[in-house]
Amino acid sequence: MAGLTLVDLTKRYGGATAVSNVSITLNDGELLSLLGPSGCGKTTTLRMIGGFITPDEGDILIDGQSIVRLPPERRPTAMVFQRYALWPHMTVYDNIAFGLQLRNKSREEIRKTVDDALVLTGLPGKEKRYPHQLSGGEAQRVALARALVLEPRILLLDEPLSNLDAQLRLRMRDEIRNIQQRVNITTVFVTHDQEEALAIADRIGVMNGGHLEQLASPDEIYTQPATLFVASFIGNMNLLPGSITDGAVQCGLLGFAIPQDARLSGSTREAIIAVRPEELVLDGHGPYHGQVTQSINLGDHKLLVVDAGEQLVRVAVAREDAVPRGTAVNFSARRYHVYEDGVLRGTAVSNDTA
Amino acid sequence: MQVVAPVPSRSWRHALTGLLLVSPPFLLMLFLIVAPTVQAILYSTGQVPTDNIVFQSDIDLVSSATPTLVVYQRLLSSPYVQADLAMTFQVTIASVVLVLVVGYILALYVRFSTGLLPSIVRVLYLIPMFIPVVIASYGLIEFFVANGFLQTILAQFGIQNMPSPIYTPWGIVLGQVWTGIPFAVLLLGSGLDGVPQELIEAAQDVGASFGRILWRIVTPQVVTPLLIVGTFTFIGVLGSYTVPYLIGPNAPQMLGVAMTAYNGSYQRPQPAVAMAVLTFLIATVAGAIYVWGTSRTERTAA
Repeated sequence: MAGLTLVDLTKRYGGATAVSNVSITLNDGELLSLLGPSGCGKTTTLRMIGGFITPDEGDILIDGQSIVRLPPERRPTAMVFQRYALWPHMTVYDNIAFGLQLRNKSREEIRKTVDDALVLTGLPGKEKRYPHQLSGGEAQRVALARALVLEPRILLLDEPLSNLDAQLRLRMRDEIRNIQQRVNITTVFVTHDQEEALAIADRIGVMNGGHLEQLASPDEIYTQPATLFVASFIGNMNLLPGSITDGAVQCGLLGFAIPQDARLSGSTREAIIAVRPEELVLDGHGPYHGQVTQSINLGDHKLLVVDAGEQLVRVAVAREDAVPRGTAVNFSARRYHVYEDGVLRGTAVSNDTA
Repeated sequence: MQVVAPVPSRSWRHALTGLLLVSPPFLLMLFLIVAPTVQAILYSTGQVPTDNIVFQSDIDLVSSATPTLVVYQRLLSSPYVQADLAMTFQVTIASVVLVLVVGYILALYVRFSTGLLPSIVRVLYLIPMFIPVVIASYGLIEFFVANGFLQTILAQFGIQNMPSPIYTPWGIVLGQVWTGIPFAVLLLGSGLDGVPQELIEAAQDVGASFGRILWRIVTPQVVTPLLIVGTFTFIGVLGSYTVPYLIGPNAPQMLGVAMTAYNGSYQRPQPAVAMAVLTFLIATVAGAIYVWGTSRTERTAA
């Protein structure tokens, strides 16, 4: 258990900056998810923590001690790799025991530690198998056990679920979270799957183009996306470009009042309104009008595509609501965000249609 | 999944097509390897064909109605042949060990180093592949022979009386290493390239030093290429002729040179063929070890 601090971490490759001034402080036992699209710098950041990439600038501290100059084998971290990286010529037991053997532990101690790890990860009886005899989920658990037996102070998980099928992903996600909380180990979990990040993390760091766009709790990331990128990357969002006129943002035929506390820079007359489909409600007295062009059944709810003049907006309705194509509807927004220069300037919350 | 029962007639056609496709290499193997081998075994055990005047020309021919090992007994009891055999084994084993060690070190260097020098090495180790063995042998002789290029250079620095490996068994080893290195590094290099970087990083992550990673993680992954290089170098050196003929000593000789001498100069085709059978048997044992080793490795890594 330990605290992890990244200070202005930067990595460049030639002229391209892979990670730029990333600063994060992670508390004891916390699980941070680094989330972002491919090439955003999340894995590079993780590999810098693990010691596989040397940062050009910045520092990495574990409990206040800089580890940035230590090679991977001397860092108090352990990594679970995306493709498990189990040694194919070793059995499950040998894979887990290898790190302990390197630490000159006694045979009995190794046996006990490996047995405990096998129980913790639900693998008893599999110790004599070779990696090619394991399923994806089992291989993932072996990789996790191999990392945990070393009692690292920081656990690093590099997209550990990306090679598993959908059902197994869900199960392994819960198991990883469960084990992480039982062992109470500070963890950095890299993923490009927002649902995974929202479900598993204490905090999420959303990365884009090497920058940390927002570092906050899953709830805050979802309800208060700090930048337009976060708003567009997390969940479903209607992004409506408009122009600022007389205390409102006019997006085609749709006008959105600018909240009182909004802090517009005034540098431009353009703004973007971001509103989630579930924050748009069909309302006979609603200020907005449109015609349903499509109804998409998503199982637990439906998504209506509404043509509101110059804008197409998506409105979430209950699964049982039957709104056929061509239906004229009125709707209102319970909550929306105003973005100017890609940055959140204010959030409007309506009390009328709660 | 729908399972369709095979139609017998089509199955026969497929089987026939398959047989026709494999028959050319099979027939080639039958005529070029199996038939001469059977003939050599029969001849060396005293079954001399009446219609082969070359086989009958042996000046101390052993001819018997029933198979006999007299030729082999005489051959293996000869101190000259014993010396030839001993030198052949010594040179072969030394060459295999050196090719494996030097080839593996070069392959590791190229795999794990970055920069200009490894790129240059990557080109340099291929050069022997493009030089004919005869030319390379004379090149080695010119370079290493007594009063040759190397000794002339060393003499300029006051170093004299350095022994020359040329016309000694070590000269043959030198030549075999020179000719064997490109193949060895190419094969071992591709084997090392096939070891995923993640496996190495995972070992680093659990605290393994570079030496431990090489010994416990990397080398077990390249057992098959190592076996291929070892076996093929062994068989190649065992039956080699050009390098030992040009660079090796007059006596004892390696089996390849001795066989030619017995067959031609000594007019003794029967012991020459017996030597060939022995060489073939040793190579077969090496081949069997290779097949056993690779199948075992592949079973573990399947």
